[in-house]
Amino acid sequence: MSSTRRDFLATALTAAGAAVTPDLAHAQEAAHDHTHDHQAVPSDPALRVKALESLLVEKGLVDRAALDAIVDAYEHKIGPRNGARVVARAWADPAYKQRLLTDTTAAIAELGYSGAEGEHMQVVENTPKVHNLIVCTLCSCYPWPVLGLPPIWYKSAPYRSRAVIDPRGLLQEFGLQIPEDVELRVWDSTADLRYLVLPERPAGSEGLGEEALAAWVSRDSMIGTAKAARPAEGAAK
Amino acid sequence: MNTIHDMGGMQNMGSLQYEKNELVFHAEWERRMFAMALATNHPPGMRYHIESIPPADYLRMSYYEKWLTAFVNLLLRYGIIASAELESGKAAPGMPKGKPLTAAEGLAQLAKGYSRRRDQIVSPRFQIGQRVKARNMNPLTHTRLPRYARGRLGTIEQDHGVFRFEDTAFHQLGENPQHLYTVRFAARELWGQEARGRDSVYVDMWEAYLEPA
Repeated sequence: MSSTRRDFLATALTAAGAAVTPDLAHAQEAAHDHTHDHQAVPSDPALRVKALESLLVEKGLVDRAALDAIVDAYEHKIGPRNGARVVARAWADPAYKQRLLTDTTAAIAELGYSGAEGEHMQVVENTPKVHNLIVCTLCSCYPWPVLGLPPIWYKSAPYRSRAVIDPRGLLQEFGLQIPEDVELRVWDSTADLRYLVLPERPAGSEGLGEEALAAWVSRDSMIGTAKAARPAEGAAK
Repeated sequence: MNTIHDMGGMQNMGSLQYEKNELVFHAEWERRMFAMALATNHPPGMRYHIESIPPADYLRMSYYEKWLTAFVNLLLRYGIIASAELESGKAAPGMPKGKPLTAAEGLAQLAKGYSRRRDQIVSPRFQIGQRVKARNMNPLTHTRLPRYARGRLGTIEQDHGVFRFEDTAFHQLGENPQHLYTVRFAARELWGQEARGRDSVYVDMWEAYLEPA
């Protein structure tokens, strides 16, 4: 891309962000807002990606069928329902929970989940006295095999900057108040470990089987930005 | 490199923008971009190229726009594609054709993962429970030692064994396999007396980041 073109894009994007909000973080997110800002730079990344894909295919570096298969895997097979099953099993089966805490990667593999960005897993357990929160301040590290790909907010500046210095204030934005007497542990996944929070089993879930329990486990409860809770009526997740 | 990606502890980054029922991808090009980065054989260091995006652009770009920029720069850096090819959109004549990962190979690779744990026997310099100090270092190259931890005192919580050292591996300076630890830092050590006494931040750190306290 020429520098002129880049400058044009930069200006257009800045203008688009500024029109919605003066706040930088919002400008960053606004690029994802389908209702407003895609018109500002209608298809530039789309065109560049398309051209790059064609080039890589022509050079024999990429097989389109492989791209389709990878997209399908992360859109339809690998996601937070996997992690929810791990948590539900741990709630229902104390021996499994023990294995999960002592050799997390192997215990997760028992349920068939393993691979990229989950090669070395560690579960951290919430209790009445300890609350855990996961972040990657440097980028976007996240346990793909059990949670899928991270949501935008997890990769965003507001979350990454604040999780380590003001986790309690940040959690309030999620509607989660951590009591004074609860110890807060923030896990910054800077290297090769990927973390999963084992949330507390909520009251009211007694007697439920694993499948029913899994519905009580939200993605956010496994990041530490929410508690596990009774699923909303008719909720898909 | 001390730049914008190392944002732990920064303030005034705005309020959280939470999207309910967020989709995995927000556009078709994001799907293709994500998959291309995983399906293409390339040397490590994508993250270094993300971090090399100028700060103002880094904050402005969406996540996969950063991937696109970094991926192209990585491919150019290692001569996997040439800038003339990028300009023209056509492979340069006479270049050997590669053999891409098939769908089955790509999925198998993802299921296997990319563990960077190494089998070498390296004796650990630190023991669990030992007090350590994170080095004060400011390399212009890739590092996973966040600024907020540099010079701070912590405690070795876990020793995860021997792993490839990304600071050098990303720059083709060797794997330097060494112990990777989880180090606990008291919130007060990092942020001062205003922080909660019992709270803490756990950071995964290679041995090269640490010295005895």
